[in-house]
Amino acid sequence: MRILIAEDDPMIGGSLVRGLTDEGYSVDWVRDGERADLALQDQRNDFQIALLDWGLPSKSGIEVLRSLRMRGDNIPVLILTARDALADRVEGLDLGADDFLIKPFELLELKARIRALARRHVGRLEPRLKTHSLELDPSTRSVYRKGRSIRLTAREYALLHALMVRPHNILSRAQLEARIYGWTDAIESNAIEFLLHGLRQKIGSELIENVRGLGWRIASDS
Amino acid sequence: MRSLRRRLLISLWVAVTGVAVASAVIAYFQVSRRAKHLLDGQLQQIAGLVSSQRAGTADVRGSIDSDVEIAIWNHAGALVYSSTPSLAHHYSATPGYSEEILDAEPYRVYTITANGDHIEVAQPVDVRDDQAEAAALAALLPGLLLLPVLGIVIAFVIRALLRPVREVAASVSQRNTFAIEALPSQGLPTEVAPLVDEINRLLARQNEAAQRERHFIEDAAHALRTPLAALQLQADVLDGSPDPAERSARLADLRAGIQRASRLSDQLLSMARADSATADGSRTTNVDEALLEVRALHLAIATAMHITLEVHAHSHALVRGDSRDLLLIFGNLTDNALRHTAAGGRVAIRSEVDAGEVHIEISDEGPGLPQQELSRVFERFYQIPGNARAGSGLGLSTVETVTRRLGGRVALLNRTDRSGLVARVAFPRIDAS
Repeated sequence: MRILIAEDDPMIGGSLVRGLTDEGYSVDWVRDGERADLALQDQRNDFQIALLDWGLPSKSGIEVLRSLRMRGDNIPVLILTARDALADRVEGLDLGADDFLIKPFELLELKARIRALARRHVGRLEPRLKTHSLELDPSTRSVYRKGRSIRLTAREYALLHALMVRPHNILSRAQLEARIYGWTDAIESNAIEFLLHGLRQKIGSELIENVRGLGWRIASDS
Repeated sequence: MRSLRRRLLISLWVAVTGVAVASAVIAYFQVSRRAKHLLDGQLQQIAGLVSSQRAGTADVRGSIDSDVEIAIWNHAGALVYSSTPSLAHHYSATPGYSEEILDAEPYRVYTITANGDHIEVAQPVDVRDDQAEAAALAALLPGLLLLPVLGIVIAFVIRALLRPVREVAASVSQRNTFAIEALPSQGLPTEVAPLVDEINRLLARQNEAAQRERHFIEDAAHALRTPLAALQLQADVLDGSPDPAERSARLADLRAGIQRASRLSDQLLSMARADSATADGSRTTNVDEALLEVRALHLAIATAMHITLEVHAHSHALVRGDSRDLLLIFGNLTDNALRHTAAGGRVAIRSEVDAGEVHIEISDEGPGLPQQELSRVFERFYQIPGNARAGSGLGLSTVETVTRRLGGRVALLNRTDRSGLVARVAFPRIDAS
């Protein structure tokens, strides 16, 4: 899952990138509002969640949010702010923010809220992702096959997560790359195939279906 | 507790009572003297009446008060009539009034000699005194009866006059510590109104200070949020990586975060001090010495950053203020200059005297500032947007506060000869004496 962080404080931004990368998310970090806007407009980026700092230079988080919603983009947005006035939160929520975190906050809480947002966004209430014999728990990043735990690398997990969020959708190589890698990651041409190969070996190759010319999806229940 | 009301009451009561008693005593004696005078006149009238109506003396005697005794002698000295035997044995040679003892009782006697007759009219002194006393007391009675009424009236008047003062006191005692409203000063007597006005002015100043303090605390708490948020996250990600090099990098980040937070708290502290300190006009400091000390304090860091730090201090001038104040001002400005100058650059500090003022310039070789930011950076907690090397937004604000307190001014200008910023401070020069 790919997350955009718009935060101007270098220390907070740096730690957020580290903490969320540790968690297996692919994270991109911009330090001002203009760049956040550009990054969100670019469809190729395919962010699943945006964390916006309220007090961004050049264009405030709230303005970024406003133009995002005016474009009709419904990406889940979590506002990070040092302002705790009720009026500010109401304004943010009314403009289409999905959640608020008041600084200072704990990374644990941020991660839980990101998971909740991702879940709500695809219309699920159940925190675990399930398809026939596979089960994926985003809160612990563990994967089970028929009740047995399977160990995956961070990238393999991210790939499986991307496929399992919408089990019937076919994801292209570009879409998978966008969801797994950030801008700073160097992607080799066959990286996705390589990852898929490793993943299939661990969970069972029949569970991931290749739709020729289109991409991959979780195999439908038989 | 010295109650104004009680003291007024008691002193007025004592004064009024004293005056009333004194005037009553005087009136008593005056009235009784006048009464005796009247009685004397009465004796004289009776004597005249007796001499003119000698034949009907008994009638005269009957028509007047029974306590008046009469005796008549003819020209030969023979007693013609006497209303009482005690007077019959008396024969006073001198005409007019006299006090006589008749039968061991004091009498007032009036004697005349008319138509050859010797007439004496006498009245007991006791009776006279009783009558005079009765008259005097009758005159005093209304005044003495009204005295308590006057006391009550005085008490009421004092109470009514002091009511506004009591009301002010009540409104003071009822207000809470941070009440903003002024005390009611309308309807106060002119003696008390200035006091209340003064208290109101003091209250206004207090309120202003309290409000400033509240804003400062709010701003400070707000400013602490960002470094604290960073610390929280830096600590949260500490054990997230198995790679030892990454872990030590994260630890270094946490240390930098702690340094940032403690630098901020230092700056908040010196800002609070700068706010609360009052100008102490008695101390003066040599500008050149202060600048050399600033250089000594920053030389190590400048060397580490490969920046040349020059001081040309030849003003030989004294300015108002403590050396700590000057170190705070020039130290902060030098710190900024060093932070924005790249390695190999130069930060220059100069002082000179011009027209009774001391000018100090600290110039760097950094990128300078956009024109619209040059004055805004002095605002408290102001951050230049997108400035990665931004501080807390407190340093320059503190510098300005302290500079103003010492009677000086400070401004930032972009250099015209090259890129860079000049901080210009001017102080009134104090003549060494």
